[in-house]
Amino acid sequence: MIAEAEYYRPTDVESACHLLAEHDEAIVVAGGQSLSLLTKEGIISPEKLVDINHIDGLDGIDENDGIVRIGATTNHRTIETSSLVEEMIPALATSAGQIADVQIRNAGTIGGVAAYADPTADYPPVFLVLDATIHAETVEAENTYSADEFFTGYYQSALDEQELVTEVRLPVPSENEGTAFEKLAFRENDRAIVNAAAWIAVEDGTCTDTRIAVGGTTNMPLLAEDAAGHLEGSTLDDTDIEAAATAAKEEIRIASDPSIDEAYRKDMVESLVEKALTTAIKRARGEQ
Amino acid sequence: MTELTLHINGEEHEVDVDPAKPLSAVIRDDIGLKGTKQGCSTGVCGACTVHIDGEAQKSCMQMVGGVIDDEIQTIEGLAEGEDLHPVQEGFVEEFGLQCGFCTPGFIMSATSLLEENSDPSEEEIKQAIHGNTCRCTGYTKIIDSIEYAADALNENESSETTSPSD
Repeated sequence: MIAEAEYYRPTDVESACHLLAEHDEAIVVAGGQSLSLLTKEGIISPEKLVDINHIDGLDGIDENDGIVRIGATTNHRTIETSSLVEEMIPALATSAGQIADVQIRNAGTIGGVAAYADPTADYPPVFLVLDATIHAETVEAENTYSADEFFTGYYQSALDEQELVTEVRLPVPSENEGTAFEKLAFRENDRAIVNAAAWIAVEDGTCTDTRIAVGGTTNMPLLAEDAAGHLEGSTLDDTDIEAAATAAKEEIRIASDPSIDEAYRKDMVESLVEKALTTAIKRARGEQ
Repeated sequence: MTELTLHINGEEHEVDVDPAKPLSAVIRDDIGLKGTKQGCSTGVCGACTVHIDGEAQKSCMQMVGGVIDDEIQTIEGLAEGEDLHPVQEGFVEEFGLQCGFCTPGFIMSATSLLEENSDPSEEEIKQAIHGNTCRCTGYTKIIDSIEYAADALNENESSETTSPSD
């Protein structure tokens, strides 16, 4: 059994930040679905817990000036079932709906996923392709991180221990842009073996810009920049999409994993990138 | 230890526990409601499913310190006296259980689904019980049980709205 913990329930961001500043060893409780597992397995034994679920206004989804703002304690089920998210950023709704099961989606939060920086998590590739920003606060400062600079390694992010994630902001794709998310797991909705997201802008049948990201293969989600380079300026024929998917297969790092063959994972990167691009292109063209 | 007040099945319970203790363990050991089961204790099997503010959650994955302001409902809170909840009746009528260990968790997931969606498709039922594991039934009878409950709830509703006294 773990040692008795001090459990704090701040009701505003400022008090939460003060608690994190005063107690170096304090750990934030958001949805608690990963944290509970870590404490029960004895991997960590937190002495001080700061539960952020009672902070007013830290959850919720709204859209303003083409930016969807999702508060840190918004749970996956809320994101999955939000008509605003489904309509504006379908790739995010898809990724939310593929996290674990209903009970866990009712508890787990978007801020928790960001801060935990699990390399197999389902939101981060979507954050990367949308160029989302992750917002965090300390007693002294409000910090903004691009998704690309936020994820830095195996369960590591750019956050320091005193920072509290407050929200994620995602630019809404415009009419000629599309997004998509794909995931492969051993069982439906299990932890990803590989996941992939795509964002693409199409004007007069030509790709003007695109971002492709892959997660689950190494210590952090990665942008597939060579793959994107194959598509920009192309007319998005099947051969262009296939060439981009093959480029992603070549460039995405695969960390060795004794349970999954590397060649298989490379093939799955190619397959998921192709699927995600195909759907994103249809959405950009208004066909889906 | 910390003194906490929990709201379970409409009653207040005072407990003196480590606030990081899993809710499932508090419900069983400190409050003595043994209907909620602890199976895997790792958030996989769903036997510990309860409602927290009306939503199905796995009580082994919640620290008790986080739920003191919430309304918690366990399997013991469903029946009214001797009258079983329609989902419980469905499990009896359609033989939705064999050993019964997973049943409270399935019933809590199913009641949460039917409160949101009183006429779910088979696919929606499967999604709702995705986080619950049964090692006896093969799930078919569980799905039948939930469909039985949905039909019963919808019949009640339609008989209420078409009541001659209206």
